[in-house]
Amino acid sequence: MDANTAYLTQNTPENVHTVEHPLSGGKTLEEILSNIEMTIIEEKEEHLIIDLVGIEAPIANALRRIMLSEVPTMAIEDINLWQNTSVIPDEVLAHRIGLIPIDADPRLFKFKHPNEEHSSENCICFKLHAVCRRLEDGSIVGDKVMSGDLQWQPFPNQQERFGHFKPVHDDIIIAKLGPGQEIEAELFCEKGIGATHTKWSPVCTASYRLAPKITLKKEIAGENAINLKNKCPMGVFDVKKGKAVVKNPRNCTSCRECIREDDSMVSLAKVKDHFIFTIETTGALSPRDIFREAIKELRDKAAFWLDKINIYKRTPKS
Amino acid sequence: MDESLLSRQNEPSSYTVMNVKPVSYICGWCGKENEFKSKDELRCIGCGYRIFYKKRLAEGMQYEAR
Amino acid sequence: MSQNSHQEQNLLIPAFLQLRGLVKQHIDSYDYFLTTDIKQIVSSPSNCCVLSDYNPDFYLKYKDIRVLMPSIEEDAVISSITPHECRLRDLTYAAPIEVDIEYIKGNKIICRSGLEIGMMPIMLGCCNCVLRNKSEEELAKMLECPYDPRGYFIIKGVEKVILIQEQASKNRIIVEIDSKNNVVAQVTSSTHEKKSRTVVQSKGSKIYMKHNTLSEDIPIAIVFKALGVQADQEIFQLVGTQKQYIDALGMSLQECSILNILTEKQALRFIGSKIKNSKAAKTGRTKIEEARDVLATVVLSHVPCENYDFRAKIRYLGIMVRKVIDAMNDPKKVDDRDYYGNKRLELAGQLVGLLFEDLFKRFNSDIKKHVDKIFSKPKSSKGEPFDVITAMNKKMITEGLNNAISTGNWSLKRFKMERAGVTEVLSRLSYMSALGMMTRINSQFEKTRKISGPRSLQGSQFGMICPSDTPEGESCGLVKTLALTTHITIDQPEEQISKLAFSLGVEDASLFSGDELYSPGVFRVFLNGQPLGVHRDADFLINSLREIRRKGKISEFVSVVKVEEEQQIHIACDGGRLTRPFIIIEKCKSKVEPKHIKELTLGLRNFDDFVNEGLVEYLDVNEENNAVIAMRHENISEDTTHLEIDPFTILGCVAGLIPYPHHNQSPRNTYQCAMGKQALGIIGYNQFLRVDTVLYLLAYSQTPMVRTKTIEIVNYDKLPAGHNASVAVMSYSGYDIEDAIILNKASSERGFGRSLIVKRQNSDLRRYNNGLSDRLVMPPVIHGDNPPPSIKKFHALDKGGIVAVGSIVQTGDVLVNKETPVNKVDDIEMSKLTDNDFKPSFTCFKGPNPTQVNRLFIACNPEEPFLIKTVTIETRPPELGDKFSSRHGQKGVVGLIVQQEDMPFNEQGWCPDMIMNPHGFPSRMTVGKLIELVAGKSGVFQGKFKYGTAFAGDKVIDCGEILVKNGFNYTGKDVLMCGTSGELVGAYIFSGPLYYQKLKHMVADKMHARAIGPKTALTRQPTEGRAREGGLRLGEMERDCLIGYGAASLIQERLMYSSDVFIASVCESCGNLGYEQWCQFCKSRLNIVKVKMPYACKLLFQELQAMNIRPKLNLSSS
Repeated sequence: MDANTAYLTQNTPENVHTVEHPLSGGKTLEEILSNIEMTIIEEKEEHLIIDLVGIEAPIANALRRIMLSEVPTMAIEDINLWQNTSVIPDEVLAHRIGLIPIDADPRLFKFKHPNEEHSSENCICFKLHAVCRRLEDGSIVGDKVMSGDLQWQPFPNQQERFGHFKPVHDDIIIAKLGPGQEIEAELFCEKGIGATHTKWSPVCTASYRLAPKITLKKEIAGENAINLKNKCPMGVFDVKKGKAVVKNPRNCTSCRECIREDDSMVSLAKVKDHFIFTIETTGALSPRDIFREAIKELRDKAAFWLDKINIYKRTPKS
Repeated sequence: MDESLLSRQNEPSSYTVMNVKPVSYICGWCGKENEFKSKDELRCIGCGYRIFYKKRLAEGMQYEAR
Repeated sequence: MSQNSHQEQNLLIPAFLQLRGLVKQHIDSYDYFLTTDIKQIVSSPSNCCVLSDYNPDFYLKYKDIRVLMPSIEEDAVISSITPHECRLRDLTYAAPIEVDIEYIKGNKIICRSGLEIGMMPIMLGCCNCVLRNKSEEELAKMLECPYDPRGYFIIKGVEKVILIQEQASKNRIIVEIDSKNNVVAQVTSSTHEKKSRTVVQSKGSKIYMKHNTLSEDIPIAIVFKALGVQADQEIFQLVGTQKQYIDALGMSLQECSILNILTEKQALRFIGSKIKNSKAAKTGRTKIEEARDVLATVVLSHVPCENYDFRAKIRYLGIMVRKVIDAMNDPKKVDDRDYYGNKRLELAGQLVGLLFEDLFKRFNSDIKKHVDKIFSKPKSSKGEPFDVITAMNKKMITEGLNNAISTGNWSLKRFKMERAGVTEVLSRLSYMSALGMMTRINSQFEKTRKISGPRSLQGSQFGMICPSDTPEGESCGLVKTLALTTHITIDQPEEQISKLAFSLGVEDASLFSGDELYSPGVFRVFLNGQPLGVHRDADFLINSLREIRRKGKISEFVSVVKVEEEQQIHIACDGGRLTRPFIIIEKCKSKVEPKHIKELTLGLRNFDDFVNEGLVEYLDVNEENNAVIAMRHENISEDTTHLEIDPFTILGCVAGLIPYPHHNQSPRNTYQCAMGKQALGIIGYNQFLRVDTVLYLLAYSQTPMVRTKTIEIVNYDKLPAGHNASVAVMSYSGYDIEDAIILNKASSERGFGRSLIVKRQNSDLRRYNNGLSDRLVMPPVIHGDNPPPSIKKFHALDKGGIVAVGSIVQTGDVLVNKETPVNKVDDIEMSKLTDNDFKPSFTCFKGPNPTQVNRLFIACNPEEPFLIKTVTIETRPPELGDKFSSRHGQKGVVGLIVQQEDMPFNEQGWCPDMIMNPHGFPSRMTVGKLIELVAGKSGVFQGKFKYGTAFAGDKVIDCGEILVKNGFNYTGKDVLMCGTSGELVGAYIFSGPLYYQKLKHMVADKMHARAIGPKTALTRQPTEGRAREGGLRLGEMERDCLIGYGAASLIQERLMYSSDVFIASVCESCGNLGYEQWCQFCKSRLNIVKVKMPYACKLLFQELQAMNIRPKLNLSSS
């Protein structure tokens, strides 16, 4: 059994834990660093798939956790509600508005301290004024309040410095109105992190999976090979020259259909230091930026603790 | 009921009852604004309906979007 | 027929319920009352006229009665009202009752039509309701929810339901074994006028008749003789001439000769001497006449008896005796009281009918009293002649009806009946709780009796009453719920049926001697329990009657039952029977064919057409015994007469929410039935317009992924109560033991489990008898940032003294700054009062958290001139300790809320909303929940709702197949990564969507602690209970622990210093309690010492003194 491999058996995953202590494994830092590989598999506007090889679960997980909850974004925090005659109660409306992703680079802004005033440095202000009317011909206008209805109210010289701010999507329904109903509000965005509230999380989700390692225990040929090929819903296996081969191991979703039968000839496993990251952004930051920010954050954290340790080491023991 | 005494000391001269300054209400049926003195019959001048809603506070309310 | 079309037959059920609604029973019965019953009541001979004892010329005659549409009279203006206006303004949704009368005024006959005699509360949705047959748009204009079940009343703004009452059948013979092991046949006779119980009982070897009006049991032979059957032979013939009857009757006949009673007169005299509270002396009638009267009018009063023609009664008594003897010889012939064929359900229409008749009689007797008083005085010649309309008190009927419905106390003077708890406030906790209440059946049995019979499931309730939906605890099995397709019959006129029976060859019983009645091969025909006659060809009669019924010539609810072993045919058309529809099978073929179903789906026919064309028919519990009912198509055999429409209809609407209930352990389904009613959700489309005292709502309620057919039928998919939570069944952190659940913080921040608590607070400005009224006062001006709490609490008020709409209030904040005049008796002018003549009586907000004032409105009603209702809405995200439950009786509280990044995640990046501990499964055996998860998960990937309908639903194997196609394991178990360590989780985790309900029990409403606080006035001990900010009791058992531990000082601290310590002055010389350093007994202050004791102890001493016991305190210093 390979220590670097977790095995998916019929009933339970085996050898899942990373037992290796950095100091016990005999690997030097240089060795570890030289083995780290990073490949971008797919990059789109909204998501990014990266292969990270050669790091251990805690590091990979730390990156994932930071992306979820510690990379800052801008989100609507304070709401001044002047008028709300819609069916949605004020607080629910405020909650809904808060969850709208805002297309603004958080790196341009400072965190706002609780006692601080809203300013061009720490805040983006939007206005929302939606009125629903019945026109003379009987048609109703303005019955849907959308995120696109948010009007940016720039603070002095914000426009010159930053350009334009708006919600990421224009078609998020905030509320529906009946004729005569009205919503009027002033919205203030602040910089924050996902740990405080998920509205500040930059990602829809950021997660990884371990790279699958699929091997055939024995040569599978003929009808069995075709069966195996058909069994897998993700098309992992193929038949070449009458023999089964593992064609697309990365397609595997661990459904374990190939090892459902007791006498299966397939071995399903996971490489424990090969992480396939998927980062889906909410739209404020590009997924690449999120990943970069997460690494920066991790580095800062490490530096912070290194500093602490050094201070501790330097202080004489009493 | 010392609170009430407090309130009177607080506001001895302008201490008033409602019939000095009537508040206007919106008829629940036709939306017409009505003003009532406390002795008035509650009845909309426009449509005769007897349920009236109070207008929402004119100044904005602050909420945390959470 | 193809397999597909077999399944389509259950389209009949939505059609059935679309036509009827879930509460059709209530509405039908009330319609019957308003259109037919009320007219019968008023035209019945005992009610239709009022005469005077003093003026033989006078009469008042009711010619017609009707109930109009609901309206209200205000300031002499009559305007129509809608139910919602009644809810808002605390009005009663009632309509005027109008009568047409003819009466004598002076010496003229006067006809008056359209005279109002009172107001009748109107059931929502009934034929006189403005909501009847209204489209969704029209309902929306009246601010009404289209899915509201209706069928309830609105009395003074409160929604009241008259629960269905279950009771034993009236006017039917029931044979039982009493506590002394005697066979008893009893009949509860009930007519419009009288209610009485007649019992025929075996005692030893003799048979007796027992009746309330008679002080003793009367030997049965004497009763027969008194009724005019003088020959012993005839008595035998009336009962039966077979050996067993003669043997059993012999001793009873002998008794006659022992008492020397041989003639009718002797027998009547004997009975006359046994009558309780005899009025013979008063009225000057003989005992014989009185006995004959009792026999004619009181004993077996439901059997018609005109001009002392006792023949029908004799036959009836003969049948009773025969039944007793049969049961003596064969214990199997004893009837089962719990059998649903022997039970009748009373509905709103019947109950209000009884009440109205009682009130109407009282109304008439009040008129008569008034009229008699006028006419007993010598007539004054001048002035207007007396007009009887002035003697009519409109309020009597109005208030009588309103009071009964709003308190639930049904007191009927003429039956000497007092019944409490007939009505209940309609629970609006959730849509389901309201629906559940409308289909609830209340049993008349005492809750305290510990007999299991009435509580246990009864075979005959199959399909009629839901086997799952009953509360736990004391009323378990006594409070029940109707199944989905059950219909309760209403009264049908008997005449038509009896005429039909006679023309089908029934020979009138009165033409036969007893012997002929019981001859073998002849079937005795009964109509509603009364012997009608005999018929030689039972099958011909039954088949013809059923054929006529299927043709729609007589009511579809008439039941015809053949009882082979008794040689009897029972026809029933009375009200209160449980019936349900079946598909008719003829020659192994269903009469409902695919083309019919197609027409149904095209909207070309409705359920009534199926009934009218004889494709579907209703059977009552008794007629079910004559039918061979196939559960499914494949079960049809040669004998099959009927087919179930769909097996899931054995469940009621609340149990119908459970997916795959047939896979669950049965008590789990019962638990879910109780919890489904506590789930927060959407109450109705008009929920934000309603003004209930408390309304619990869910901000983002979702329709369940795994549905049942019932869910769609009862519109739960449109008014849901819960969330499709992504659940991982795994152990996590130890904060999930004992059914606790782990919640994802991100989910709750995105709206999972977010609830709205809508509260209403009333305050009214009263007007007092002396002309003064409450007033609103301007609040004090608040200066500075940090005002004292006594002033700060006025912060939300505006200049008018009423809270500003939109402001945030906290507990204790004033909503309405009202003042009440001190003097409410003397006549003073309002303007002359000074501020000191008023005392404040403001309304304060109550609630745990800061809350927004959402709406405020003012209204008035005839009783209250100025009603202020404040509605506040509080938003509450889920928190630690809030209660959640799945639909399988699996409840749990939130044990921990964790960050999203700490949650496990799968390879797709999914992470759960909720983690549930797997230990919940083995002992609960809720397999349905496992299947729900797999079905739900497959539905998510397929983009379709899945069905978990009882006894049907999507199969696990198919759902597994779909999962595999989408790259998931067929068992629903996924590979998960741990959110904290980043490694693989060492097990495959069963995960997917489950429908979770948030229950109304929330920590914010329950948490309570106190340091110091209010005390009760009498004992000076801390108050009790959260509502009064009370202390936490250190009880006897806790005290015992401290005693055992020897912590004396701690006990003293808890029980005295922290509770009701009191420093008493005690006189050392006399041992009495003193007061302020003075001993009144010694008239001295010399020997007074101070003693610390509990105030309760001092109180005890004084109370003892008050009853002349002197407790003496002997003091010594320690």
